[in-house]
Amino acid sequence: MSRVVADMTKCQGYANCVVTAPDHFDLGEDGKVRVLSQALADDQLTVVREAIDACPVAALRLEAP
Amino acid sequence: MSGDRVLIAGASLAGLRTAQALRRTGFSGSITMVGKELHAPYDRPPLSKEVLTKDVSASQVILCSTDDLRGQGIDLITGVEITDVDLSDRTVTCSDGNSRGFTELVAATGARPHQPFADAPRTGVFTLRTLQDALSLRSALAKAHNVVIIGAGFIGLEIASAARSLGGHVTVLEAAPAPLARSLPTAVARAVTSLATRSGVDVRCDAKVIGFTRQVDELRGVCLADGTVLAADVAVVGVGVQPCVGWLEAAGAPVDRMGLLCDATGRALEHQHLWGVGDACAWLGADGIARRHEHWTTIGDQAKVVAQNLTHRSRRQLTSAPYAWSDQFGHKIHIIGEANDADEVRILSREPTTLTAMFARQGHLTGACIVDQAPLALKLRRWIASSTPVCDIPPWQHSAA
Repeated sequence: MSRVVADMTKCQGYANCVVTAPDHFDLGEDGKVRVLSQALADDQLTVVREAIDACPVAALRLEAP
Repeated sequence: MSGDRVLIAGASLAGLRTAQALRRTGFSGSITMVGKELHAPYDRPPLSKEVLTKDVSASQVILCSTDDLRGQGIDLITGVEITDVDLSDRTVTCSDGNSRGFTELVAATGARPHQPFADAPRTGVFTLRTLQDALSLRSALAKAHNVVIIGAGFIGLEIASAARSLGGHVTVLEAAPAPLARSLPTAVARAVTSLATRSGVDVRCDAKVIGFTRQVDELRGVCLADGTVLAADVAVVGVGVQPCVGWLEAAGAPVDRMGLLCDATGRALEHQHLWGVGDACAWLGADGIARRHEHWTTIGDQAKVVAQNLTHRSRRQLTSAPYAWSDQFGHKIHIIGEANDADEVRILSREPTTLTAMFARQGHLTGACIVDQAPLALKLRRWIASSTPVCDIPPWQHSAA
């Protein structure tokens, strides 16, 4: 399974990932991203890729299995 | 469908996101992007921020390399402009002399900075849109003592922030009575600009620029209508943009001063095979009013809608609230939804570093402008996207009219 990983040093809390893929991301009280489910089934990849592209500072990336 | 040929005019964020969204939604025909600039698609928000102050190279702002695009089945042609389009024959003529056919055309040609000063000195007066503009401005700012920004919009204030952090004396001139007048109500705009004034930037409204002083062809000063002359070794003109749609207008496409007019599904009005994404176009809202949102986030949202509708003959519309941000003077300003057509404004905090302003129309939340406070910004985006009644919004209830 692919995994989605967040770089907390890059995250600035734009929350575009949360708006794009609310089942996969949330924002903590500190204003930084929370990845809700790291491991991704194949049918979840499209929306997660959209969320990755929606990040203005490229703080999210997909790791191949 | 595999015989379909999508031609995307423009190879910046709007073109790239459209091409990627087409592949993700299952479009199996050919995709060709034609871009005027020589670079692969790159990201513009950093150009008015870290590119001006840090040693950021071109490769660090590239969004997707030509090889990566090829891997996704997307052809990129750079350094080429579309000069003519025939919408009934469905062909374009390009500046490289080639004609290219298409079954669907996406206009993603963006906008160019408005520069109303025809007689500006050759050296020292800048606009900012392209990577090359940013690199030229960076080297000028590094040596500048007196920087004058013409136009107190978000881009002007971001450049002011960068210039101030480099130690220059910075003045922002706005011809209108208030800053940020296109985006925000006056009281909110003044709170935002006090981030600049607190950092030592001189922000002057009702300041109309009438010309420049120069030595040979090098900028020395900026002249105002009231007779003031401000010393300047760098001036940046940030007074809005004009959509790059001349090529479409000549072909009879529905174009006005806002750009290519599209319906709420991204299709050009009365044209079956023409679509618009990004700063070159204005989409009709649910209220029938055409709006151009020059927002990074909106471009990605539009690209997904157009890709879906083009591929599956569906009629999807945007569902998210417009969202933009501006990084200045150590703070992030979130601008959500619409502010200008509000009939009620509530301000929870006027303190610039915790500014929280909300806008409503007919009892429903339509927009907000807040500084930092990312978790609240997210809540506001959700409330605004679903047009939540203000009686259901706690911060609205706790704020003064």
